[in-house]
Amino acid sequence: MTELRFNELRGEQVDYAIHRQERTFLPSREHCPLDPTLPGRPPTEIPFPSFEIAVFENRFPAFTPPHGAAEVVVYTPDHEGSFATLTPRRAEDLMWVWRHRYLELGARADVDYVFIFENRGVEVGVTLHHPHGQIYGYPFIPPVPMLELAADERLGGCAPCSLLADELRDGRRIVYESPALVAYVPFAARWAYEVHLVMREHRPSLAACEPQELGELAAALQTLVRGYDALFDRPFPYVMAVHQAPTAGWSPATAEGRGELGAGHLHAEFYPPLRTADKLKYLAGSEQGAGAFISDTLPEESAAVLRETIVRAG
Amino acid sequence: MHTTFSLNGTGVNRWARANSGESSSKRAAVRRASPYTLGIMARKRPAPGASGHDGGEASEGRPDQDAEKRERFGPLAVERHVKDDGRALILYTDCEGGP
Repeated sequence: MTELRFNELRGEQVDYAIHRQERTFLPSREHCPLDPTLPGRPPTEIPFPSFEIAVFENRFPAFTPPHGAAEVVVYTPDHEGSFATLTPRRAEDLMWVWRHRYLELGARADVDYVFIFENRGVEVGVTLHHPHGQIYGYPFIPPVPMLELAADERLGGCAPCSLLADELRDGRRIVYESPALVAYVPFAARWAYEVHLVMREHRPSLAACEPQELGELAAALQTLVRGYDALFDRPFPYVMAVHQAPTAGWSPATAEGRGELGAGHLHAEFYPPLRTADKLKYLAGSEQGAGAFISDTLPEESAAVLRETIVRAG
Repeated sequence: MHTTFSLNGTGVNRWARANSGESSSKRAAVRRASPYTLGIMARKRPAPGASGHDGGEASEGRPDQDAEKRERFGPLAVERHVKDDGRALILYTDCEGGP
């Protein structure tokens, strides 16, 4: 069971899921719970000898019905590799899986926000190395998406649309472009190599995308991760957060279910903790105690390096 | 053309409703934290296990507890299972021949 408590001082919900203390922590290679179950090997979460992409309810969930959902998305049966090493077709299929989960979880009465994310690397708290991501179905709209809605109001329209236009006009922080997407280090990035990958057209959610756009999204995500890995010639840790329209109040049977209400603009944000090949950016006094990020790098300089690396990495 | 959302309306927080024994000041605070104005909540599907849940349909919702179903979603075949401990497991397979 989980319990939500409201932190009056911060004005935010805190989720207590104390059973997660017991969750599997960096198991040995032969005990990976995300592998297929093979004859003569220990049983895993997926009781089949082969699969392509698997989604299951988290054994140690942060949220449980009727107060939300927590799912694990296993990208591949192969234990080694990463999002970047998936075949292009598998990566595109993964976008369809995300879309499916967005629609299905978002239709639930106890899910107001479907949050697709990936934690990569022990630096950001990964406990399983097998390529995978997660999905939380929050029973409320979390603070960061709320801030994005507030930015819409402050800017008098879709904030990501407006910020993307600014970035395209400036051009110095753009690291990747395709017909459907643009990636850039934000003007006021918190992390040295933070990147936002944004749909050019106003697409509130994965459900509002054309099939071709899903393919381009997969290709762009893989290109970025390959670039990250090439930056310091090492697997690059990051948190990847997919932001899209809240699902409070809609049904997949209606136009709202395809995210056409307009609140939100599909984009992925990468928060990599590395500021050099071997130095981490820590959230310390100013960031935690005052909520003010102090950065050691300029977004324009980071973008120049990253742009060149992405081209080199292909 | 997209629309914007009002942030100053009387939003609904589902958790706040479910915990109606909380003080009115806390409920007010929760509303301040999630002031998302909608009003078409009735269209949403109940959570799994919630009273009145019908077990789901083939194309949406949660899988039946005792039945395996195969659906299509875009290029994917969707195969639903229930694990021994009752958790849902969904396998997705590309059925358009991609590697």
